[in-house]
Amino acid sequence: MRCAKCAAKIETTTLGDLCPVCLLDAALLEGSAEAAAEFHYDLIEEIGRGGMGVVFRAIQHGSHRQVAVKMILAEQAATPGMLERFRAEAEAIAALDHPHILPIYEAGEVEGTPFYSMRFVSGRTLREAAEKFRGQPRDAAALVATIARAVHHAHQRGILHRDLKPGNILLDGSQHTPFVSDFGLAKWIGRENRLTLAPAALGTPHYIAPEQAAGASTELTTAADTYSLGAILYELLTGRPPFVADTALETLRLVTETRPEPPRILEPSVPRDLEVICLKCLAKEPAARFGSAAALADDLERWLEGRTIRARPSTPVERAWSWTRRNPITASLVALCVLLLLGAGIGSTIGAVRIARSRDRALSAEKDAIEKLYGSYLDQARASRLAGKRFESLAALDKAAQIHRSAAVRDETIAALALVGIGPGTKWARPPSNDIVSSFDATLEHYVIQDKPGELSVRRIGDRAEIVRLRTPSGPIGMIHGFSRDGHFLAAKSLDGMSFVWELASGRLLLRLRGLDLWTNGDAAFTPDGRILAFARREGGIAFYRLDDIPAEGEIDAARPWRVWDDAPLCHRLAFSPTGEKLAMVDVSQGPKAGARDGIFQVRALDGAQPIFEFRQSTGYSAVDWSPDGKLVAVGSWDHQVYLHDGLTGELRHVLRGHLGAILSVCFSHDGAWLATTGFDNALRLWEVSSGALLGSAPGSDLALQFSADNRRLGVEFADDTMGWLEITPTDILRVLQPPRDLDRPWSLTTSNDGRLLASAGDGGIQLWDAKSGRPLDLPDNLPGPPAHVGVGFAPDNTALYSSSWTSGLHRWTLQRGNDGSLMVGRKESLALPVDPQCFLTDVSADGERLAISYLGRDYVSVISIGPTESRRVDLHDFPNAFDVALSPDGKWVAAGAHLKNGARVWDMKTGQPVADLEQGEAALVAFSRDNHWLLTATGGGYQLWRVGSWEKGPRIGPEGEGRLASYTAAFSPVGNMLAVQQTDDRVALFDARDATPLVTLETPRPLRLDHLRFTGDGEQLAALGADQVIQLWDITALRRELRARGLDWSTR
Amino acid sequence: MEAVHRHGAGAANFNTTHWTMVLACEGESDSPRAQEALASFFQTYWYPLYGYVRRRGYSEPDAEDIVQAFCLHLQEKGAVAKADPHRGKFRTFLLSSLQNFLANENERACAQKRGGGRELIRLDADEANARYELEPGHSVTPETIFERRWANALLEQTVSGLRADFITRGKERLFDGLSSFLTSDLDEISYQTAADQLGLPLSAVKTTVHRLRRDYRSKLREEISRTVSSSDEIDDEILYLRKVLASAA
Repeated sequence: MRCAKCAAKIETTTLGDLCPVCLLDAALLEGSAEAAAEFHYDLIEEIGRGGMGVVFRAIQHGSHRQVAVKMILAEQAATPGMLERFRAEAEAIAALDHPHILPIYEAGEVEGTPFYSMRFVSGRTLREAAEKFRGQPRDAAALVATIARAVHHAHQRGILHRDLKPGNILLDGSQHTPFVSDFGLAKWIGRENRLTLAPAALGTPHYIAPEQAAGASTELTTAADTYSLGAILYELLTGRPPFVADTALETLRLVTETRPEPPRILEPSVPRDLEVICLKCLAKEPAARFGSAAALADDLERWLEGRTIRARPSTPVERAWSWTRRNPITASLVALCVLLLLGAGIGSTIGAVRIARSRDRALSAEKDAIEKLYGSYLDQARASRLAGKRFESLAALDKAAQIHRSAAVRDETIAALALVGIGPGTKWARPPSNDIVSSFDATLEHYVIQDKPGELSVRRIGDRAEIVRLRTPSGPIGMIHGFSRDGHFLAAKSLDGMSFVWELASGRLLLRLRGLDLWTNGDAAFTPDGRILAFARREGGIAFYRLDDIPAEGEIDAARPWRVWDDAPLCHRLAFSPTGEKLAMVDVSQGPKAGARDGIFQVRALDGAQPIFEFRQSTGYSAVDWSPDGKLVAVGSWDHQVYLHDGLTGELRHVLRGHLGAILSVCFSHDGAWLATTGFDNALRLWEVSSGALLGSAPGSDLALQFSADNRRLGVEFADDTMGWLEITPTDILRVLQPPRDLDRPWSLTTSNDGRLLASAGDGGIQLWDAKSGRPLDLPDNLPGPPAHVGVGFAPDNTALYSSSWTSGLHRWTLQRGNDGSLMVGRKESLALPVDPQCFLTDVSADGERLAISYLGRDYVSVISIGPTESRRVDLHDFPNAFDVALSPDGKWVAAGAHLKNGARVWDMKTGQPVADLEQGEAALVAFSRDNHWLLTATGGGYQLWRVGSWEKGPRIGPEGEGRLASYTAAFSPVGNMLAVQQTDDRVALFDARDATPLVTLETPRPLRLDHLRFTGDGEQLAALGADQVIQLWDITALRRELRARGLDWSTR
Repeated sequence: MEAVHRHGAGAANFNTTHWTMVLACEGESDSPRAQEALASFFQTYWYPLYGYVRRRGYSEPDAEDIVQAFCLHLQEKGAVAKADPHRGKFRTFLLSSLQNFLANENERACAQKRGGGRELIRLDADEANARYELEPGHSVTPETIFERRWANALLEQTVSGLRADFITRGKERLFDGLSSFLTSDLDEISYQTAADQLGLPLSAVKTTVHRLRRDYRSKLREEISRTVSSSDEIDDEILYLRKVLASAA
């Protein structure tokens, strides 16, 4: 068959009639008209919320460009006309192309919700910056002229803004380049507009024109925007809007009825002509204002150039014109009350009629609106959770739960609870400075600030009491290098580039030396024991000074360092390993645009000539820290990423991605479990070191970053001239157990019936755990190194741990509890049982008398009785490739699953005869429920329950959506009739084991490629062993407690 | 110990490519992501590998064994030490790896080998064999067979994924009714015909076709992006595969 279009030969494929050549052609049609909007953004954080929607900072896929994405608020999505209004806004902005109007990049819809993306402006709004213009009339005039030009551009294209106010003017960058934003109330001039009914169209009371306040929005002209521009100018000149009252209603009344105070009454320094221009904008009668926004801009520019302005002060006749021509006051009051329906909620007899009518309309849409609101809270919760914001996510979920206490809310709540919370702690003012003149000590007990030029005050965090005052011999400090970890020394650098080291106990100056440029503070580092100082020299290389051998008087001679590395690269941040034996160095000068030379990250032994390892990359490095055990080095980069390297070999372990700006600082927690990072994106993030997972985030912070000794506080220098700590709340529903030894590929996970022990096993041996504390226990005579395919199982009476190994057969460790509850473990005993080599222990019977065994490359499985006197082996034949073998709790049945095509089979334990062949194909997992009701088999296609005895099919639990599970594992709980199954890569689902009713889904921040699931013997915890050997331990009891507190616990029948 | 390593800006683009997957296996064959990616990868590209081995003259069962063994081989530590993302396309790398593997095949016991625990790769050998019987004549080199099968596998993977998306949403019929628009010219008549057949408004048909084509394009490009070393090469690869397919006489 040949393609009718391109004549290519069409071969038989599953593509049917589709021509592969044409299909490839179709994929080349990039940029065609069809390539329209779809949602390819990662929402990072909410940056604004207004009448018309919510604006997120987002990253565009592919380009990685930072953009602002505006989406309609869920509360509004169902309000009649709101979707149209939102689209109209996008349409309006898209029609504009002006350097001072935020450009729209893309408009589209995602799942029925419209959105558009636009340029991201990082600065403040004019509302926040308005104060800067007080007493600066020229700046104010220039700014309003610029805005007026942009507004005129919109007017020329038939678009009224209708909501111009300082909060809608964004100021970008250091030049405060203004951008007009939020065309949420925009209206096409002259276009029949059904949207004008919405009360929100009234705009913001302080800045709207009188005719707009009166509700005459259908009659609005460009003069309404001119009025708003005048109101903005008025506020910039005088510090307040033209009309101010206690309530919105009163403000609107003033807008419609009274004349503004002339600006010079409020602020005598306002130039007279500028006052004239301003008042002309604020004229009650639209026709009395400037003819266009451009005319306003012209006049402002004339004034700026010192020429005669066109505007004239209003005459007494004009003033007398007053408001009598307008509609009766009552008419405008009706409109005002509608506004209040949404806002202040003050009732009025006149408004009540209108309100009742509105309510009728609203009620019909209410149900739909509430559903959308609920959906939006869920979405918001999920977005916050993925960004690591536990508290925000839980807050949104609380709101969602008020609408529906649904399974989705419950699942999402669990996912949020699994995060680490980073919440506000305590903060206090620090002297405002652009320099880095505050710092914490290593355990967050002390801090230092420069409270007077050239004087450093070291204070206790507890009571802020000064411990010691340090004085520089030469002028103010510009950078603080930091405390030594042992708290004995402090190093700082003065503005003239001289660095000093003080002994804190005595306040004595020990060393002064000239180093690198002022702008770096990491160029001096102490060994953790405070014995050695490393210092990056201006002329290159690193100089080392001994601090444990200081002269009795005077200073250390800076010209005679203890040791010098002349050949060390020019590096600006130094960090000693915890033992002080190695020094990590990064060159922070090589930002992405710094030129051809690559940035360097190098680690050297203090007594070695050569680097132990070195990395170079064009995007350079920016920060460095060692983990407390010295096994990892974290390096931040200008490329926004943090690299976790093996401290011994340099091997890259994880790349932490998520920051949106260059990394400013990295800091390990004292237990080495977490890494805190800050970046130029003004975000603080907390990562799990073992998995690289993002566990939490919080806004805003700067350089000084330090954990308290208990890791529950994180010292931060905030951007708002304060410093203090954030409280860290670890999750109590999920623990991560990192094996202290390398288990290699995991094969087995088992739990003791008393709920106190866990054992995981892999090719590299066995790891025993205390299930209550999560503490690893060192098993004596652990299995040796070579790949051993180890299986483990506890005796049901908790007195023994059994193991199997391909290399050394079956073993047993005797377990005993002392009177104090401590665990005692016997030496390893070899079990002389009649098994073939390469056996794999898969189950221990409920009575403890039998072991189930599968083999490599045999066509049978075995059940071995381990009686006190004799051992007996029963082989169940003709079942090759068996992987899993399970013994039923009542001792009647043996089930086996095969990992190739043999399916699953059940035998009668007594007779050894097969009684049922269950699954076809691969069925590598078999498990009996504890009540002996079900046998579960699992394949990549899902989980199947079978009725024990009749072997009829029970419920089936499939993978979500299409396709197969990449990995699968499941476990029945010993109490409470729960069934846990791995459902997707990142989720485990719990079911009621009696009828496979879904209970809850557990989602974790970490990758969750599981090998095994197992409940602890008391049913209180669920252990999940991953392919990375890490065990994630869900505390089901704590989880249900948390859910119960939120009214979200599932019912126990 | 001395080691110099680079992870420059370019490396960041490899996150989801088959290259990273193989390299991750090399470093850490237990890496769950890598295993999973590899499993799904082989499910997709089993047939091109099989086609190549068959064309090299191996019998059905042998070819199946060899490809299975090759898949396992790639997951083993040390197997891909020479893999270098900067060398170019993953397709080329895979073919040359397979060629090397075949060269060593005699020394290799490709007998039963226990798969990686429960992480089994489903290899639809029977289906592959049935299709192989329908392969075109013998003038085609094994390499060409491989490349054509590769291109088809890519397309089949993409289209079946697309269809699965529709099925998930209960719109199987819609997909089957509109899939021909993936390749046909978009004209009002065919739109109207489809709308009549499906009993849908014309606008709905147009919208769906638009989304279908858009989704198809991004799916295929994403799939290809995993096999090339940078996104710049996607269009080149499409053109190359197009040439390979169009040259089938």
